[in-house]
Amino acid sequence: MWNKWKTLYTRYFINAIEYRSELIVWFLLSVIPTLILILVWQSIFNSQGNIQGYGLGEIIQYYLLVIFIGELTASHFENWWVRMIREGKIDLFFTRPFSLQQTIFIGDLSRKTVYALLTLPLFAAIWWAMSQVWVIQPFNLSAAVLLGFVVCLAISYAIYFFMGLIIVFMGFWLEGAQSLEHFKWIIVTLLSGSFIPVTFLPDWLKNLVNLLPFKYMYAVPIGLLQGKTTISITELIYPLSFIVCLWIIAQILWRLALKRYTSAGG
Amino acid sequence: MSNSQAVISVKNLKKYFKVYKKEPGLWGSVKSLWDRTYEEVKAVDDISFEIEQGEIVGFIGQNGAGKTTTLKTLSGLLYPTAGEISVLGFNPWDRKSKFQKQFALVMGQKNQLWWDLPAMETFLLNKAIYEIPDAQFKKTFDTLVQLLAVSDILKVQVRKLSLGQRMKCELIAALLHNPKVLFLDEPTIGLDVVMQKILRDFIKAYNQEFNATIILTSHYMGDVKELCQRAIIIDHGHKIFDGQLDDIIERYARTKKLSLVLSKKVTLKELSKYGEVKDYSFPAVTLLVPRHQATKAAGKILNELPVQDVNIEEPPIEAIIREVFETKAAK
Amino acid sequence: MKKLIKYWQIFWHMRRLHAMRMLEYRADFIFWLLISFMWTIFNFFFFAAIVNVTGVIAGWSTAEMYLLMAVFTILDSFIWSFFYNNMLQYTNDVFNGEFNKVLLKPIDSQFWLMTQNNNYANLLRFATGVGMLFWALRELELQPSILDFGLFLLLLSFSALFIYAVWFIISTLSFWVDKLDNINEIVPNVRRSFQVPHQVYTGIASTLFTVILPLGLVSSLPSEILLGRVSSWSTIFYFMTFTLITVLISRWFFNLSIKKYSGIAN
Repeated sequence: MWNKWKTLYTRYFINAIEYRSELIVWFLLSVIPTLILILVWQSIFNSQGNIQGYGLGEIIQYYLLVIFIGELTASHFENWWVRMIREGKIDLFFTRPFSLQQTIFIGDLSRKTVYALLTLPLFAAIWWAMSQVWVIQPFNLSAAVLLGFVVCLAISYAIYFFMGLIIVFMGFWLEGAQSLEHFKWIIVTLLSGSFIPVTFLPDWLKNLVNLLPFKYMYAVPIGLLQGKTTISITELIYPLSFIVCLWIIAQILWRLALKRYTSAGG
Repeated sequence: MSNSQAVISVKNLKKYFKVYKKEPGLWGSVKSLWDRTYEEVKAVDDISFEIEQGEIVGFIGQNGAGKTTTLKTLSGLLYPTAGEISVLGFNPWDRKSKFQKQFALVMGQKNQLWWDLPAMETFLLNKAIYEIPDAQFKKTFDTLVQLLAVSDILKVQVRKLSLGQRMKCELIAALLHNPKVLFLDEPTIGLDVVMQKILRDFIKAYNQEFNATIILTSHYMGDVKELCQRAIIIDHGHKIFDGQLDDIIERYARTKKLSLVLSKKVTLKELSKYGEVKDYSFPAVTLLVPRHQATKAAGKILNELPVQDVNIEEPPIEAIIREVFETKAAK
Repeated sequence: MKKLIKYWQIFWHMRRLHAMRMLEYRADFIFWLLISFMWTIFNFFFFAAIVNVTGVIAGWSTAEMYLLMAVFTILDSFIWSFFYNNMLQYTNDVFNGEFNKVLLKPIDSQFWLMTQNNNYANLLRFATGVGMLFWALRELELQPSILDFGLFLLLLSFSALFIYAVWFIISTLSFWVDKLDNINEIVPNVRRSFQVPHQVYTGIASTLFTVILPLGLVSSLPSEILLGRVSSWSTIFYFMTFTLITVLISRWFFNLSIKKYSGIAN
């Protein structure tokens, strides 16, 4: 049983390696907008030491961590899988020992592994290079903080994954369902604290962010590492329930899709 | 002997390609970054011929013989490695507008029709691009539409047309500018029997109506037999025959291919009584039978052997080419 | 002269054909109209939040930043309308071996590649940008003269031309590599470089983004003209000259690539 997972994982792994040079290029390119943003912040700080509790070093750290979390947890599989569904290429999944969901999951996991292996060294190099130019504070590390960070990474991955899965399943009904990704990006970017530390948001948005569970994707884990936030185990019930809700929606869509797909004769 | 009337003139054309070799696998890809070994492929190796206005000439040869490469060179898409070519007095490689407005290259079923709009829109666009004067456009358009009988589908979106209707509209789009020279590369490939006939009839009609010069490549003898008086056989980049088609058939296509489907097993010896057995894997049999006796032999087979189906076809190109070589060697 | 008329007519002929296509897919058009508008609002939000941190970025006040954002929006919606689809089709044709059909037409290939496609969904964005521009001018109580506007439009055209040339050179690389998915996403990925005032770039960044590849000047220079705060006329002159040289290089590189394509392609 473990063997069949390993086989599937390896297959997607090898496939991802084929595109390794592209992956590296894309990673480097995606860093540029963040670098430019950091330059903007540099000019904002303009030799001021501290703005609303953040120093320039902490802001830089913030954005680098946003990249880090995004690289490890964001979902990019919607485009490909929706196309597979629209082109009717998923018949196999009704007869094979793996369900569609499991395959999407394993495929995504293995692709991320390759991506992480290729880009983390680059990322570390960039971090190091930036710390030569600007002063970047050390992390507030302790076992509890690290644990909390990892848990938030898992939460972020789960939210991204299930939102992605829902979009993929919408492909059974909508032509061009992958465009729904835009909504995913906007929601997450606005409400997770990934485009600017929450402190700097206008009040109404600040309240919204604090209310909704998306903050656990970026704002909270980064806050943990920077020593500006703490979390308790009980408050994790909230994002976890949200993930369960997303999972339920995904399962409902899958059942409906199965009925529609198989009754129509493929 | 050079003929100044020749519309297409090719002298000692050579086209060689460098093909980079890469070993398979990950290590091969990495190695290929610094270790580039290449192989020179002689796609066209010293071909010469002249074609006059109004001729329909068939280029025959197996896949990879150099037919498409020759056509692409004549269209100005490829730059010759050596040799001189002239089409309608132009050097194709210059790709002058004046030249491009006078010829057409049609390769397979590649689409130029806009999928979501009526075919008429593509036609009008081509009219603008090729700067076709109104009067000439009307005349050509009317002729083509009539020849292909498509007047009722011109305002229908292309995606709603059947495959056959689409093919006809693609043809019109390709010929609206009334080219004097037509290069057709494997035009009937992938088409069913009905569409093949429509296409062949149309090419004949176009040639007669406009006295256009046509080069047609194919690896089906059937195409060439229907349309061409003259044939040029190309093999491995060399021209091995250039003459009347009837000649080729008489001298080198002396056999016809009989494809049988047997309903009961028959011994090899039995089958050999009717002709040369080329292939036998029950229930399919391929026999080669002398040309003039083909129909008679087919009749005998139907009477005497347990067959479900008999098909008489032209011999495959390979057989003809083999014949050409063997005859030349014998000389 | 006759040639110019022909090209002018073909240009508008293509626009008409794409308008017809757009009407064919009305729902799709409306969807993208809304999505692109949503992204504009988001971008506005993004920079508004950042500007409001201290009210100034690299010497540009809040209202001046809004004007810059408006200029960016106008430019960006233009390039999405006219460049994105064309470049995508161009690179796809090269990778799929369909480029021959471009070479066979009795029309300048580079012209054809740039005019064969376009997209109308960014119209709303364009209108929003123009609206934002006039609103910002009013906020700043500025009344630029006709000469200023003329100069602004001239510089804006050069900015568009510059982006076109850079994008076209990158797209032409498709003749030289085996396959590069998303080659068309390279330029869109670095758009942030001209979303910010060029004074943000200092040191090495300045050399890179304002001298070697002056993307940083693309929105800033036209904006400065309208704002009446031209920092340096020699920079403007430099940018215009650089643009023209890049355009010439793009044509030279294209012709070189065609030669290669015809020599080695099969």
